[in-house]
This record gives sequence, C-alpha cells and structure tokens, in this order.
Amino acid sequence: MRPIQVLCAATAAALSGCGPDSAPPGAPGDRPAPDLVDEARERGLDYLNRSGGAAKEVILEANGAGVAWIDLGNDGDLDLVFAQGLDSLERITAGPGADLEVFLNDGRGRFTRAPGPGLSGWWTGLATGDVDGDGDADLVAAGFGELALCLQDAQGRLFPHPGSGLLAADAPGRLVIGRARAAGAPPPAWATSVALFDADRDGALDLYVGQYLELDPVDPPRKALGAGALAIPCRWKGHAVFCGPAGLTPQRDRFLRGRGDGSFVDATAAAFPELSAGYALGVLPFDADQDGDTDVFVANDSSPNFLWINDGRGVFAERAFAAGVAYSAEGRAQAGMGAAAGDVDGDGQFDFAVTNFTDEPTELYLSGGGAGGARGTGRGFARGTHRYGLLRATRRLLSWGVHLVDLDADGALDLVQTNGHVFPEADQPDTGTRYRQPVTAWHLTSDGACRAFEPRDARSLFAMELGARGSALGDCDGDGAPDLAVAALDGPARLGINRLAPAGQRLALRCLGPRAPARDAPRTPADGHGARVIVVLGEGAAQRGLIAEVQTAAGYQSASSPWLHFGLGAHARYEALRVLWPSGRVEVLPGGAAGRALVLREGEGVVETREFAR
Amino acid sequence: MIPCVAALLSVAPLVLAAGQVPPPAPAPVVVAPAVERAARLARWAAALELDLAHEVLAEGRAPCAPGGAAERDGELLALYARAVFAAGREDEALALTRRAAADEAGARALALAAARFALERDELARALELLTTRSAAGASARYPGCPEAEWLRGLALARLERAHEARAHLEAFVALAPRAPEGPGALHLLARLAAARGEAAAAEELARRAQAASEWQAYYRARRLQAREHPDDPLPLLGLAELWIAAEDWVALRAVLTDLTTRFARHARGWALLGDLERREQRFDAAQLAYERALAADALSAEARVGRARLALARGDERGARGEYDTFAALSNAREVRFATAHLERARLCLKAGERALAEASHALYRELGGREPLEPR
Repeated sequence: MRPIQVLCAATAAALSGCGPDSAPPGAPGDRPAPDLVDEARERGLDYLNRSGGAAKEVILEANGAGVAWIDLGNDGDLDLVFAQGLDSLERITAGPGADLEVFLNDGRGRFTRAPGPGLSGWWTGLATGDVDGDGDADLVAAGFGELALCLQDAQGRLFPHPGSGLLAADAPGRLVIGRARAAGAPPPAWATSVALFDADRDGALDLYVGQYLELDPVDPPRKALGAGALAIPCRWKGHAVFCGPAGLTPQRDRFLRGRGDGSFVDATAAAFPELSAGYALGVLPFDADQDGDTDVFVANDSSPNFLWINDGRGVFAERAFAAGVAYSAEGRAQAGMGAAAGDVDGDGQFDFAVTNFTDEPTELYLSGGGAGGARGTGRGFARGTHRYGLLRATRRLLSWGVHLVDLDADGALDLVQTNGHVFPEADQPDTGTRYRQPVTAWHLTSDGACRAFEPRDARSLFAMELGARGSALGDCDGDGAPDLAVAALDGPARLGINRLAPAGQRLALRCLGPRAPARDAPRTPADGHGARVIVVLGEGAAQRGLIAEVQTAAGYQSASSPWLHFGLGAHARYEALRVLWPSGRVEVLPGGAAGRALVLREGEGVVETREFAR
Repeated sequence: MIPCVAALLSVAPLVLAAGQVPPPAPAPVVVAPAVERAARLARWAAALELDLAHEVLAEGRAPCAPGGAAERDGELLALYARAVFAAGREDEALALTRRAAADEAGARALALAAARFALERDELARALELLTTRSAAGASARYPGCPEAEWLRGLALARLERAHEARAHLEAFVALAPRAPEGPGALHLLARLAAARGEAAAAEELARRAQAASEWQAYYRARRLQAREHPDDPLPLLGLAELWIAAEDWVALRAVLTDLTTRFARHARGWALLGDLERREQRFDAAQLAYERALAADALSAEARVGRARLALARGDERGARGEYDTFAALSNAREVRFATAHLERARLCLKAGERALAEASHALYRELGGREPLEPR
C-alpha cells in the first residue's frame, strides 16, 4: 500500500467508525481495483464549484450545489448538469450570475462541455423529468432567489422556458443577480432541493420546492444573532462560526401543479393545507405508506422533518410525528440534509435514510415496524439506526447526499453518502471531526455492525477528503453499475466509476409510460415516474423480490438517473418482473438473463434490451 | 447513601448559575479542597452541557493524567473522559473509564461514562450490561435511583426496542431530575411509548410536556451562553432568573439572584426579585432589606414599591401597604402590563378603606391593562 493509501484509509476509517473490508489493496499498475474511483478529470469533467469565500462567514456559502444525470439528445446515455454558485456574496449585486454547467456523454462515459441554458443565478438544486410529455427529460433549477424550468429541444439542448410559472418575474422572492439591492429588501426565496413527481396521478409531473430560510445577502448576520447582551453568539464547540439556520426565519416550501405542457400553477395551499415553515434541505418523493401513490418526505435542517401523506388525489397531510420520523429518538429536531428510499430489510416495503449533522447519526427508518399507527402512515416507521450500527458509523460525519443502492451487486442495498462539514473550524483541534470528509458507503447488516467499503485505490472516493454536497447515481459507461457524480464544495467535480463488483450480476430497468396515454386519470407519466418494479429472484421457498421505485429526486439538491439498478447477487437470471404502474395497471413480465438493461413500456412489456458493456 | 454524580450534575446550574461559568481555571498542584473540587465538577458539567468540551480538555489534561491530582477521582475523570470522547479520541476515553476510582461514587461515575460511550458506539448489549447487577437472585438494575443511570438504562432499553422495560426507567429519570438536559428526550421517548400502546391522550400530554421542556432548555442554554459572552451585563442573569421563576425552582432562583445582586450591586430589579423570593419564603426582614437595596439603587423602582406593599400586607400592615401602592401608582412606569395585578390589589385596599371612587379608578386601570377580575373579590 502506498503511503497516501494508508493515510486516506486511516482517515476514512477514523471518521466513519466502521470496520474495514478485509480484501487487500490493488497494486499500482494492476487492473482497476474494485472501488469507486474518481475519473472526473480524465473523462472530461472540468466543473469547479464556486460557493462564496473559503472562510464561510455566511450560511449561503456553505450549502453548495447539486448535480443531475439527464439524457440530453435522447441518445440513451446519461449526460451531466451541475448547479453553480458565485465566488463571493458581493457578486450577487455586482454580477455576473452563474449558469448551469452541462457535460455531454459520448456514450462511453467520456464527457465534453456543452453550452449551458444561459441562466443567471446562484444555483443550488436540480430536478429532472419530462414535464411537457414530449419524451425527453427536462430540468428544473433551484437557486437563491430563483427557480427556472429548462426544457429540452430536439437537438438535446436545454433552454429556459419563460412561461413555466415557477416564479413570477415580479415575485418578491426573486433575486436578480447584478442588480443593486438595498439592505432590508424582501429576502430572496431560497430554494434548495426540488423534486418532480406526479402527485395526483394525472400523468403530468408536479414540483415540490424545498425552501430554506430568510437571508439578507447584503447585510447577513455575522458572528451573532441580535444585538446587545441578549445577542446569541454564533458558536460551535467554542468556535465563532456563521449564523443559522437556528435563529433565522425559516421559509415555507412550495408546491406547483404541472399542467403537462411545461407550465405550472402554484397549488401550495390546496395540496398542502397544513404546510408550515421549516428549513428544508432534502426532498424525497416515494410511496411511504405503500398505497400506490407518491408521498413526500422533507428533511428539515434543525426543525422537525415533514412526512406528507398523499390522499391519492394529490392532497397531502403531515404525519411525520405520528410516523415517528419528525425528530430524533430523543425528541430533538435534527439537522436533516438529504434523504433516500429503498427496501433495506427485504420486506417489500420502502424504508428510508436521512443524513444529518455531526454528533447525529444518519437515521434509518424501517417501514411497518414503528409506533406510528396514525391514519395514513400504515404502521409508521421503526428506527433501524442502532440496529444497523449507524450511530457509531456516521456520527462524526456531516452528511448530505445519500443513496440506498446495491453498489456491489450482492443483492442487498448499501448506504452511500457524501460528507463534508459546514464549518472550516472543524479542522481545529478536538472537534471530533474534519472539514473535508470522504464519501462513505456501508454494507447494511442488521447485526449492529455495518461494514464500510474501504478504499483500495488512491483515487477512491472513499479516500479523498472532499467537501461533498450534492450527489447523483447513474450508469455513465453502460456497464450496468451505478456510478456516482459528486458536486464538491469549492472544488472540482468527482465522478466515481463503480468497479466494486466486476463479476457481479446486475439488471437495469427503465420504465416508460404508454405511447397512447389513457384519456382519464390515473395515468402514468411519460417518463415512468412513480412506477414500482419487483424483480423476482429464485424459486420455491428461496424466492424473493427486490423492489424499487422510479424517482429521480433523491439525496441532496440532486437528481439521479431514472434507471433502476438491481444487484442480483449470485442469480444469473431473474424469474419475473412485476410492474406496478401509477395508472393502476399491474403487469407481470417473464424472466430472463441478468447482465442487461431493459426498457419497459406500460402495456407493451420489454421494448428494448441491451447487454451491459464490458 | 453516596450521592450519585448525576444528582450532583443536575444541581450544577444551581452552584454555578450557568452564566457564572468562568474561564477554565489553572490545574491545581495539590488535591483540591472539597469546595474547589465541587466547583470544578459543576464547571465541567456545565461546559459539557454547553458543547464546550474543549474547556474541560484544557483544564483536565494535567490533573487527569496518570500521576495527576485527579488520577483516581472517578467523578472528575468521567467528565474528562466525556470531553475526550467528544474530541474523537474514543480509545483514550474508554481507557479513562477503566481507571480504578478512589471511592464508590467515582466508580459509579466511570461505569456510567462507559455505558454512555457504549450507547454512542451502538454497543447496546454492553451498555445494558454495565447498568446491570448480577447476583444469585438474578439480574437487577444497577444504581437504582441515580438519575443518570435511570436515563442511560431507559435509553438503552428503548434502543433495544424493549419498550415495556424502558418505560419505568424513563419515568424514574423524569421524576428524579425534572430539569436535566435529557429531560425533554425522556419525555419524548415516553410519548412515543404511550403512542405505541395506543394511549393517545397520554401520548399527547407527554409530547406537550416534552415540547415545553425542550423550549425551556433552549432558553436556558441561550441565557447561559449570553451570560458567558457578556459577563458585565446583568440582563442574561435576569433572563435566567425569569426561567427559574417559570420553573418554580426557588433554590435555583436564589442562586441566580444572589449572583446577580453580588455582581451588580446597583441592579434594582435583581434586588426586588430577591425581595420577592425572601417574602415568598416568609423571610420578611431579608425581604425588607432587599427592597431597600432596590430602592437605594433606583428610587423609582416600581417592582420594589409593589414588593414592599405586598410585604406590608403579609405583615398585616394595610396602611403601610396602601402607602406603598399609592407611591407605586404615581410612578411613570406603573401603567405597564406586568403591574396590572398591583392595581387590582390597590383597588381592593381602597375599597376596603371605603374610598370607592379611587378603588374604581384603580380597577379601571387594571382592566385597561388586561385584567379580568371584578373589583370585589368573589
């Protein structure tokens, strides 16, 4: 092992608190080690994040950017879009604003920078989905005082759609970069994570906008909240740090109903009548109560989380407390950052994970075992955090992006998260943590001791000390293994190429709505959002199913690929596919060989098959 | 019975009313006298509560080292170990808990620290084992009646999803240490357990109490931090006093007011509050003295005038009370809402003296300030 590997491995293990895998490191010059290796630079990703000054004196500078996998040009490969911020707060009034940064995939996982859509802002979160039903993916960009829809044209270019209705030109919360601004002007609407999903099963994607807090960019609070002897000093472990979110005014989230033609109308009051303000950072649409419609979990920072349960017609009731997911087990509002869903315990129901601050664990909520019991939450969620050893593993990390995915194709979901502290002061002695932290992943086992993926290569994402924020999963090189794109704070993009299970059996599925949608709702969206697939493995008593749901919004401020990635373990084939479409149709498709990517279309079965690239 | 370290920690805010937490003191060369040691215990406990473990590390490094003055002082070592653990040096912290303590209280403190660390490391079975006594008669809870032990055991059982067993320990903890920082957490856990049993009303009430306790703790923490930040300003201490009044903890209130009036001898409101406390505890001479100090600091102190009026009433001196109320009523700030009740009291005294017009005028002012009581007592 080279010195750098020793150092990085030690750092990762020290922060993650989990025992390492036992396999030896790969020697230099050998074939690529089984790892998640950063190949961003050699694959053409020259994105460099800007997020204010290095000292992080204002909270806006610490939250970073998101990233999205999106198929531009409908050529079947995944391209990348990064949100971008500004290099200082002064740039907000001085300009120019930042555009989104776009990179096109050549089909083999090599990228070329392409023109952005021409936006101007301080961009934060990204969401993807086919909002106008034309068969290609579009993109919503959230920002500090901005919310923009970019449609995709026939040439695969993203262009702003001024008639989207997402944020009116004269909305009080709109911030125009480069325009003079007086201290005390109405605070910008600070959108963080955004999620496109179909709330009312009309086949048109709707938009949930997580919003954070009121911040005056011209005169932000520094070092203390308030004045005089009753000012609250902004301190962390004795160090002076930026202020917030506690003590600053939270903003209310928004919900916009999609019309299916690229336009939206604000329906917050009608669809979320119980909505209150929180410091939203992560937005996760998924079927939390297993009733076939899409619910929404919102990870709020330093305030109780929301769990919005859908009544099936697109009206949501807040049930987080009843379901046991609003607070920590001991009743503290945690610093929720990101969230991801998946069936961790193999019971056929969706569980979910929520990333939090240092000294708090990444929480794992297991469906059906909790004390919830309130109407609309089934049996609620049981806290699996300690059962899986996640307090020990994660409490020294400050985590953002999160994914429940089978990284190594062993048939069980792993927990992947991107980490990095908000305070540079974390590098001071005796804080128990670090400012820059590696990406971490664990095999989830319920014996109280999750097992960490350890770096085997010097360029492993598990070894690099990053200030990672947004992250997105997608298979960029067609080998069937989901790769991880990471937007690191104040640094270059990272692209972790997944070589964790070169011999593992995998299956990738893409779900599409019908060519001729039904006249009346419920309908499946064109891009399959909300479809659930069960992959049946084995036969007889050994038969089991792997379930996943098509949702691109997951993690933190980011959009993953709409492809569903399954690890089949030792199974060289699957026995059947059971597809539950949002329209209500249930299809059972015959089994087949692993090692393939299949496109399923509602009513037509498998319409396209491709073997994974070697 | 040897006092449990947690019981001592729970009164730490009383010994050092938070704002009084001074900067770290230099390590003593010799074994500290009992008072100094108690102050250090309280100071370290407060620092840990305020997420200022680095202060404990700085102060504890020398005395807690092998050969140091606190080498076998289990209670100090336990707090120091918690600071070391928070700093990320978990092995070092665990080693500290394995030190041989000089006395039973110290051994208990180290065992409880070890249990705390086991919980942080998701070693739930080990945590429970550290909190269990085994004998021929079977297993039983170790350190019963010790708030910290009850809390840690309840937490371990809750995390092990043994709800029925957790409940008794959490309830015991809440009863033993109602103002402990972990109190809101215990109440929240109890609310969740009640919900799981289908006892919706109990769950709701426990959740309400948890929320109220959580808000109180947040204010308490903020006031202590403000007091540390602005040691030359009495306002944070006054805020702390108001928190203890709201909590009806008169012992804690006395500690804060004593500190306030010692450090800010010309703080009229502090003296008036101390007078109110003395009067409440029937120490009338002390109350009289405190009100006099308040008026000496501010001759126009409405609080002191009202306090003196009530003191006179408590002594059966209605005439004296009337004089104080009349003086109060003439003050420029007498029309503040917080003095509404004083106007009602004055009105009733006037009525008793047959001065109806004056009584009605005073009662009208009381109503104007939001009072709802009738002039004549029901």
